[in-house]
Amino acid sequence: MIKLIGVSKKFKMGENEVIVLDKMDIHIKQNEFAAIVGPSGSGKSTLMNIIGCLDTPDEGDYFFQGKNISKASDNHLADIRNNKIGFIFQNFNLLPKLNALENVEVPLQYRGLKEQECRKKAINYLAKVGLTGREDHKPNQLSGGQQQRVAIARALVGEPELLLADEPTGALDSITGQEIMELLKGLHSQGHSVLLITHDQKVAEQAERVLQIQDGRICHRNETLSVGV
Amino acid sequence: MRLLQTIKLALKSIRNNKLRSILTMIGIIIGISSVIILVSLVSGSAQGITSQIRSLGPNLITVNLYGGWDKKLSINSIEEIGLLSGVDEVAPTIPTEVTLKKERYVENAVVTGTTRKLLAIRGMNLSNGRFISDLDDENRQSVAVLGANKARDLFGFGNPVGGSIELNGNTYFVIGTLEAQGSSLGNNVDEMILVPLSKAVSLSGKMEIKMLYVRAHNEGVVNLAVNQIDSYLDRYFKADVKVYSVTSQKQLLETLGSITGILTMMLGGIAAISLIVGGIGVMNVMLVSVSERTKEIGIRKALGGKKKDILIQFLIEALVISSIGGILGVIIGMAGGKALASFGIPMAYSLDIILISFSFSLAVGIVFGIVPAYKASRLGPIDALRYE
Repeated sequence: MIKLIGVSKKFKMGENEVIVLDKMDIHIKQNEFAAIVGPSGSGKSTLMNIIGCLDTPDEGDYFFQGKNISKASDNHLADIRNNKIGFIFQNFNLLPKLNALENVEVPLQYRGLKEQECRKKAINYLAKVGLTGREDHKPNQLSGGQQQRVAIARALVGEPELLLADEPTGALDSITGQEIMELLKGLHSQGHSVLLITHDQKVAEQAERVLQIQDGRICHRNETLSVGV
Repeated sequence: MRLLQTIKLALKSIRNNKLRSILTMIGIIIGISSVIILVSLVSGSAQGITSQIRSLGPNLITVNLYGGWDKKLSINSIEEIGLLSGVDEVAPTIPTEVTLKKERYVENAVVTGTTRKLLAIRGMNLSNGRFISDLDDENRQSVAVLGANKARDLFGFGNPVGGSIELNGNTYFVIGTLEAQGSSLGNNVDEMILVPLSKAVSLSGKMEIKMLYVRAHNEGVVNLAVNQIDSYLDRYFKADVKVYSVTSQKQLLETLGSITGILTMMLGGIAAISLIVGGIGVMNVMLVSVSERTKEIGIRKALGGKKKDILIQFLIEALVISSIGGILGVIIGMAGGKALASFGIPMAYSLDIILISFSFSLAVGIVFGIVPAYKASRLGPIDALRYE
């Protein structure tokens, strides 16, 4: 479903040019639960931004469902983000002035859905992440775990092909973090493709496949499920 | 995104950020209301003065005779002036200083000799009795008509008609009193003592007409009448110095109009500054709010919001805030004007000014609302997301 071929990204830091991604090849299949793991500064956030269509590569090709979108327009990328990708961020990125329900409705609104339809779906997905009764709560009235559940409901509500989770447990304690991981695993078993990005080896190992990245390159591929470790 | 949803979103965002919205509106409200109040104030007092002059009639022409020339204006020449084209009626006046005595009260006063026609030409109304008639003049009747203030000064609140006063030792019967008119252009009707022209001649001992009140047939022939009178008097006096002047109310009105025009421009300019200051306030709030909301823009873009969606949201927000502020500004400006008017300060609203200040503030709100939003909407989603 996702294929990156020779993708490179550079950033200018003053006079120096830093190569963040160096001719990276990645292939993620439909219904896969993959994890990209690496220390901070390894380029995994940049990689996630490119995969999430938040950024475009300097070089190389990015095929999303067979279509090359490495040179797509801003509006085209916005459509892909809206329809095909569900984001789960480390710091949740909820809109602080909106309540849980309204936060979940946002992606549907940009899809042009009718108001009642947005509401119905949002209520439905908030229930799926176990937040029934919290619809009216503003983010600051919810715990970290609950906020991340709202964010997951928001990621799911558009029924995207790909769930992109950037350090989803990073801002949570280990028990809540594990709950969120179970939620993601459950979603995978329901047929969602999940791409997890983390620096935490333990979190990564819960995925079917782990891609180790370091200094902008894939350095280790663990193609088999990490059962025997 | 649907437009209706965007509108709801913008309204919700205004409600969610009450303080910011109110601060923005205050800038606009102050600007608009001060413009409306200041301009209404100027045009109100201008209209007050103008209507005072207009109440004398736009057809009125006054001729001042300076004296000092050996040839004086005769009764015949006044009749001739009355026949000039454009001229309807003429009333001569002879003011003269006399000793006024009523019972034990004595003062030096100016009495004005005139004819029957003055009443209509100056638009005066009688409150009691009758005015000087042609017969009074011909028969040199010792009668007097009193202005409102004079009547009250001399007779208190009783009816002066039938009473008498002494002028230079001769008894004059009061035959009428005038309604209060208020002073206009230094010529206070309310203080006048009017006697027949012929009596003024005998009181002063000479036939010297100081002023003519002339009424033109209509407003259109005022200038013609002025010219006719001017050339008649020129021929009559054959003076090589200026011994008379002819002024129409129309000319006065025109002069006054240009003065108040300058005044309106000046105060309007001052008010426009407050409008601009208000606009800068709006700009400030909008700029701050966009940088504060860059992260929101990033989140919205990550979730599929397009540049267009973001821009429309901000545009509607700016539009709604500016127009609510604008409407409140107009209401407050007009209410403030009403409050001033209740203290007796003349106010005149002008729709032009209301529309101009309203649309200016709307433009300011929209421009300053949309420009920073446009910048923010061009940020890449990750740049906006990283923004703290």
